[in-house]
Amino acid sequence: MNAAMIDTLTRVYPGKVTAPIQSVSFESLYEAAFPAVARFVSKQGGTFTDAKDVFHDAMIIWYEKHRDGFTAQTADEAYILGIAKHLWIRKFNRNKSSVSLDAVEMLIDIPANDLHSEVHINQLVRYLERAGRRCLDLLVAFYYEKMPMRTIRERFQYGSERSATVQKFKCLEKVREEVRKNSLSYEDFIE
Amino acid sequence: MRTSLNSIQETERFLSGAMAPGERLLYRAKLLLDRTLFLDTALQSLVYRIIVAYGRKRKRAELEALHRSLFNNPEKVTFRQTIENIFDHGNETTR
Repeated sequence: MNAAMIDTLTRVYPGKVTAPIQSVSFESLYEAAFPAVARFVSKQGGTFTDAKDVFHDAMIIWYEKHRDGFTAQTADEAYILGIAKHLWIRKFNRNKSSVSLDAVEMLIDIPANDLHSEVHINQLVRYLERAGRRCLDLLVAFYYEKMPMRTIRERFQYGSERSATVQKFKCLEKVREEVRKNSLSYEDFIE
Repeated sequence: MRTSLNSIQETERFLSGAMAPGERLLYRAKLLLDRTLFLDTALQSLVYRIIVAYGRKRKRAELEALHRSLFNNPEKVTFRQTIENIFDHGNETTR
């Protein structure tokens, strides 16, 4: 192992809760944002399924940005269309000039990795599932949805935030041991 | 909290960047010398990536369910027709 490998490890932590997350109505946003994405994909020669897939990916990216406290300088549906355009350019290796991007859209930053590209990681999700439903819900609530511990304590009905924190580490340990037991080699979990 | 959980917590503090510079430097030095600690840290880092992948998988399932509900709900006929009109030159169904 060396210093560069250590740096790689520290880059993947999902991040901390940055602000109380406002609840999002996915349904109203879906209705407001999907037609524009569908029109764009159709004009680019894509199918309904292409439109749905690119839209769902764009919604996930938007959700993660919103969760992390990002506020767009434009309406949410316009921002989602911008994300979808960037995803389309990446997916089909289109030249940026072949897709019209306005000034705000030009500045949109999307995650470097394709959301589906981590095939290896997706295969490991089964180890998480073995930790049991409650652990799964707790880990996702803290590390993906980034809920504050106070909200987690209330939702999962723990006596205190301390109990919730201890339970979270127990769940993390359970998953870590599952992955350890099932990892074939060192290379399995070091990239 | 038992020792192993304290160790997981310490690793999380390192991986999340919550350690003070001196403490961080010490942890990095330990990582270079202690292979077990390095493997535990690498595994924990991998677990965080798995949790994010699972969170996305759940979100995707939520969106699929919402999609089905919007395209099958009689009250959302206008929405469905709007989308169908966009793709009306293709043969693909919008269900």
